Amino acid sequence: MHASRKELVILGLLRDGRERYGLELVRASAGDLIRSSIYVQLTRAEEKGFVDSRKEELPQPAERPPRRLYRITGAGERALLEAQKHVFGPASTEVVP
Amino acid sequence: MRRKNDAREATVLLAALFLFGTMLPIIGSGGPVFDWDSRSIGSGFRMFAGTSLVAAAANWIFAVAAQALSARRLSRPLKRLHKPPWRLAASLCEFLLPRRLKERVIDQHIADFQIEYCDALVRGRPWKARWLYLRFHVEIVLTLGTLFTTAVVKRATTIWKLISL
Repeated sequence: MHASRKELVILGLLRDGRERYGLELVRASAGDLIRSSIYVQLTRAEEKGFVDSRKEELPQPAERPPRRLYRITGAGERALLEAQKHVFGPASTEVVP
Repeated sequence: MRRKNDAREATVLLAALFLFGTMLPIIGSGGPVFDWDSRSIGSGFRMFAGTSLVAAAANWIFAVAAQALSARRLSRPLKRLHKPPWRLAASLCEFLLPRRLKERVIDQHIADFQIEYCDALVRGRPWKARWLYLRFHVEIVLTLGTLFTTAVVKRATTIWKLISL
């Protein structure tokens, strides 16, 4: 499935395998992602199967809504590799861990 | 602030009573302007002096009462319960959006805002908290706009695909 530019930015930030929440991604993106659309983008990426999410575990009673932690899936990694291959050529895939 | 308001109220009342005291003998006696009879003028001035004295006494009583009331008010600690600032947005989105979408999009914004807002207040930066409050509502409006636009585009694409088949 085709990934949009913003979804590729999200996938690029999640590539290291760490779980991250939306605001963390916005801060790490240095202006590529914005707060008002990050959660819509993440929901869409999850619907496409590029990312997976789980609810943060909070001590009960929780004082705030739990955040969702996102991590990249196999389909997301493949989409990222495809995009890199498309932009930089087949040789670029060898560099990507 | 409340003491200042009481003082302002007392001043306004004093001015009103003074005006009332000045106008009453003029109106009541037919007024020295229209009736140049000396007896009438004398009676008018007596009435003026009497009414002014009553007004001054009333004002003094009022000022003392206001002072006592404000002192009593200030001696009690003011306790006021506030609703959380994200309450309105959360209720509105709960009404407008499906539960899954609200949980995945709006609740995430609320969680981010809540942490940053409380952090700003704890650090004693109320202006930052106000700015975050404003930004949160702008974000919610933009997010709702994005969701609405996406839904419309998706629906239009589906209809277009159905028509083209």
